[in-house]
Amino acid sequence: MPNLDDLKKRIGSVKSTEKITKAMKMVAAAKLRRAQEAAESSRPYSDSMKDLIESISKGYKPSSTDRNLLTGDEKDQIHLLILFTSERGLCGGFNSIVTRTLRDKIENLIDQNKTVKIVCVGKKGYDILKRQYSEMITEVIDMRAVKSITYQDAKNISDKVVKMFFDGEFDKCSIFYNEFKSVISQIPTEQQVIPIEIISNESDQERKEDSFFEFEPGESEILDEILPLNFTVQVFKALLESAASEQGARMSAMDNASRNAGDMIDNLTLFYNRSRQAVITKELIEIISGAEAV
Amino acid sequence: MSDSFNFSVVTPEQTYLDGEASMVVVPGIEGDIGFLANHANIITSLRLGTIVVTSDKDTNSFNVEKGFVKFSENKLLVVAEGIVSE
Repeated sequence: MPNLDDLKKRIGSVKSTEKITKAMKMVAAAKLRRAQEAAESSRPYSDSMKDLIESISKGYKPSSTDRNLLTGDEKDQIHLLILFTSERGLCGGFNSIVTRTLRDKIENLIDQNKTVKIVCVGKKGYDILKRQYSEMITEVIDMRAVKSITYQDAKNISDKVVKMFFDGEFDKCSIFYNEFKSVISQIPTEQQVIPIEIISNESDQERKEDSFFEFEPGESEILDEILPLNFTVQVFKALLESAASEQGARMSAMDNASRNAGDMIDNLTLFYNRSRQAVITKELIEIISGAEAV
Repeated sequence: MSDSFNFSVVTPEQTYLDGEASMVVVPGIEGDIGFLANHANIITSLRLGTIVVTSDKDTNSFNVEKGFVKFSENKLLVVAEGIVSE
């Protein structure tokens, strides 16, 4: 027979856990709205940037000797993978799913005898990877102090990476982040950023066939300037998407937790009442049989 | 009044401006460039400086950090890293 006091305590503790998860859900919902707005308001910029690069790179033939961000290098040996995760846990499968995508890629590259380098943005991804791939992780970028993501944060990261590229530390670069689709769905995304993958559809090309641009100063000078900027924009986008996804994932995880806690409380309360009744019945039987014996 | 054309300024954080203008002067890297309607297609980079927008009603100006300008199909697009507040 379980102790009634213990049961009571247990119900109390589940209740307070439920309160915490409910509060976390509410906080995540508020943060999600803000993160979503930030992600949306940055979209015109990244779209315009893409549009610009497409206009410039069309018909542009780089001299093959150059090491540039548009076409990269002929070399394909060292791959840099940038992983965007959160700084905090309690957000369901958010971090593990995107890390799994990254891990598949790493295994794939190792099978092809490529060298892999990893940059972790956010502590959680590093925590998952450090046991298995610690010798590949070249840098961990701490975002704990960052309350709301600014363009400058993205710039700090991209400046580092671009410098690494021109120092010849890697040949190709991909970023891994959770793309925000909705509160309940975040899609782990892999995107190659160096060299740039330009997705141009046919009709688009036809429409712009006759457009011809003057460049000032020159095509290559503008490209030299715009490509690092474009990389920054990609990083910025990944950061914002990842932040929005994190809050979305946390919100649904906490919603689940609150619901589970509610179920648990219901079950425990039922069990508590049954036990209480059993105790009363037992007492009654004892009294009655005691009275009969007299 | 002269013809107007579509004019927009975007920064990473926001769309700063989106509207019609009849003349825009931007600080191009090799010198200021003035745009009127039906300007030839051009892409250029910007230096830090002031953009002056003249529309039918009034004249506006603001400062931009480095960025890029694209004019095509009677649309002027300014992609700037930031707007410098006065």
